[in-house]
Amino acid sequence: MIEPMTIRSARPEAADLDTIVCHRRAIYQEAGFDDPCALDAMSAAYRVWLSPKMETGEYLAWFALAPDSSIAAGLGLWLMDSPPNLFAAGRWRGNIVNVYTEPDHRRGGLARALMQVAMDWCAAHEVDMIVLHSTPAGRPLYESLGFTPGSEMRRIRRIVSSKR
Amino acid sequence: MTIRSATPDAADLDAIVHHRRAMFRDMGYSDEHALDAMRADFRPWLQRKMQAGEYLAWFALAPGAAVAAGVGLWLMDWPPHMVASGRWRGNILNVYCEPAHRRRGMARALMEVALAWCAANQVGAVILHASPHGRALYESLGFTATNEMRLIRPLA
Repeated sequence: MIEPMTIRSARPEAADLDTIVCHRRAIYQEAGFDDPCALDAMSAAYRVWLSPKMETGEYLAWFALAPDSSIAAGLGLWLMDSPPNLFAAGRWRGNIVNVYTEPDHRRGGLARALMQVAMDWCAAHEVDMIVLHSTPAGRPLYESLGFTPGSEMRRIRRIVSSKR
Repeated sequence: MTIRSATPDAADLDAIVHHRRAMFRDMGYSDEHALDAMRADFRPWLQRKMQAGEYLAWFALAPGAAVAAGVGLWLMDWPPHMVASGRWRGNILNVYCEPAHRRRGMARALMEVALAWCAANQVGAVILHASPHGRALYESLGFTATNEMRLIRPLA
């Protein structure tokens, strides 16, 4: 089902920050992170990170609205000051994050529509390279939009927090 | 093998910029004009990041103290997440060894210095983008492939 939809930009104000943080928390929760204390700590730390990034214009976001104007889905675009390379021109590299649709509004094409808005924004602003990290469920959507697997490797080392 | 930190002075900036250009060239990018343009764009980015302390680099020295190999560590102001703690995410880049000094473990030794720095400075997650040639080294150091996807708009 394709819902008629309205998309609006997010603003660096409390209500929109709260929504983005809420989306991020829900993404991790649905991915299996079920420690509420850890999710709360991440959410609090993330809000502190997000607010200045939105103020400086380094983090953009869009929301898809339900018919009653409530927020049904969201998507973030973090503009990273990446080193110049040979693949893509433009100072900024786009990083798509926090793609989330409320359960009642899934299968309605909201994430795809938000991705199109973000990709159009990138095309209009010389952001020639866009990266993201996909869940298995999200992969078909991103593949259909032209994304292909990257060459990133990662090494995680647990840090024992000095607060514990 | 002697390893030293890079400083944001002209000679070290030049060495790092040279490594980046040579690295891309080794990966098969043969358009000299594009390589030169990238080098010119990269130097001011690098200088800014090194002066801010957001880009660290180490060199392995040949006898006589010439730079034989280098590794860079870009500290990214990464959003808080659930996978690792620490404000910064390490991004290893510009790993390059001069052809005459290869097969002596310089890249591995430099990687170990960078990873030890990360461990000592609360950088819990370190990423890199591997060329097919470099993958085995990084796997042996504990790196694994991620779920990254990318979309690149072809250059006009």
